[in-house]
Amino acid sequence: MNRLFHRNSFVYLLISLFILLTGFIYELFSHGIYSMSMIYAYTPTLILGTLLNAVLERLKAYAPGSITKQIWHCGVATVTVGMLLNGIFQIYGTANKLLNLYYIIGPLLLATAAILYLTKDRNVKEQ
Amino acid sequence: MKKYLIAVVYTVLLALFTLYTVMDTFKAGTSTDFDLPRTLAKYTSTPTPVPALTAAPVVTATPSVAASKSETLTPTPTPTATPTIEPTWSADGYIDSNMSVKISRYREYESDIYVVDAVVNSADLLKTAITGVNKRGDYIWDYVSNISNSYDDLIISINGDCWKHKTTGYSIKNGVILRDTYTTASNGFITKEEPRQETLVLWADGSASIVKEGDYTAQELIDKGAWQLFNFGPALINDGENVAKTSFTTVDVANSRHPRTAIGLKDDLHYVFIIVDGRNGSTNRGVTCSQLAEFGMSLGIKYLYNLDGGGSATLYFQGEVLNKPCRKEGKIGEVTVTDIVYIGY
Repeated sequence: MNRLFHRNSFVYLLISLFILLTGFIYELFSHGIYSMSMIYAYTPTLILGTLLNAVLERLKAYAPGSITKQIWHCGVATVTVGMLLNGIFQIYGTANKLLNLYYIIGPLLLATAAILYLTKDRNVKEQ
Repeated sequence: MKKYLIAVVYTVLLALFTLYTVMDTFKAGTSTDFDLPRTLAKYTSTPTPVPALTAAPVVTATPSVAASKSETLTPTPTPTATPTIEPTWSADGYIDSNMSVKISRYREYESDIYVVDAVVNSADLLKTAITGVNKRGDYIWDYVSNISNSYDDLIISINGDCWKHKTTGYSIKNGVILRDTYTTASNGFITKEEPRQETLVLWADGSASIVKEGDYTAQELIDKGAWQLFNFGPALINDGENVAKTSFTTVDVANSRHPRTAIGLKDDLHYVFIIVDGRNGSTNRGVTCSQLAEFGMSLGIKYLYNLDGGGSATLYFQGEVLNKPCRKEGKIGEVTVTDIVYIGY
């Protein structure tokens, strides 16, 4: 069993639950104004964190190298923060073009990490 | 620590950037005048009826708008007539030769309700103003009071339809098309019952209509003499008929009680603003859209349209906010918007 994937999967699950709860509480006090961005802000951590790590663990895949791992985490964090912020702005009734940067930089970091993982920056396959 | 250097540095940068974004979004701006025209100069065939004022003073001046038949937009304020009645301010209104503004206070639906009756002798005495843009081209968000203070000849103002809150949907302000796209589901009061966005058009002759997007293009509306088009919704009263639905299946916010702002028309050139306080415990509970329509009907309003409400609901008169804007439960204070509706020169 790959401990790294197992641990990452669990930590991401906790983060997803925390974001889900935060979004739920925020929506409770939003006077009936809903934001899909806020409601689904937990999905990046759940899909790109918990589920992906669970799949990699099941596939007994190579563990990523330190740099790849950090870039991936940064990408997930960027997208998640962007969604939460977008949700807060939507519920408040405002917008900001700077939010686009989260949705550009986040996927770029994820893509970079994915390319690094698929090409070179991975550790020896753990059993 | 060194092992996680990338993550640590990036987290700090992300936090700083997020803080900057939040501050950039919620700070009130300062640039407000976007140079919208303020007269009906381009409406060459505009009739200019003189309304019967409901307030005591008698209007003796005839508006001179029809004489101004320039084809170009004139952003410079141009009084529509030389006042023959001295401008008179009071705690609950204003009057001069061209307009009569009266503020009435009601206590209904466990809420304080402010009703502004504005009888004017030219449609261009009801204007909108929008905020300017910052260096990135984003529209600045500002308080109704700040925007209002930018206009010396403003008599009374309310928040508008917050046109920049949405990215789609017709928008016409002071005879200028700001946007001519159809409203999308996430942007307006589109419901299962009414899939096309309803807008309120105030015509240059002082009348009003509820118009659905797609009935006409924005340019056709301008050609027909649209002076203002408000796009928020839903429509509450149309030609004297209560059209507020008892339930908006896809728009919960219409069914719950909130602070509200609505604009309407009692008669040609007789505009009505309604501001309802809410979100303040049992002091002010706010109203549903259906209750707002019911209240408007009781006042004999012919056309009534829901504008941006919630914390945005603001009434500004004589240098002060008369109502109690409340974005969060019990937290009184103005919130920023991108446009106002006002009576003035």
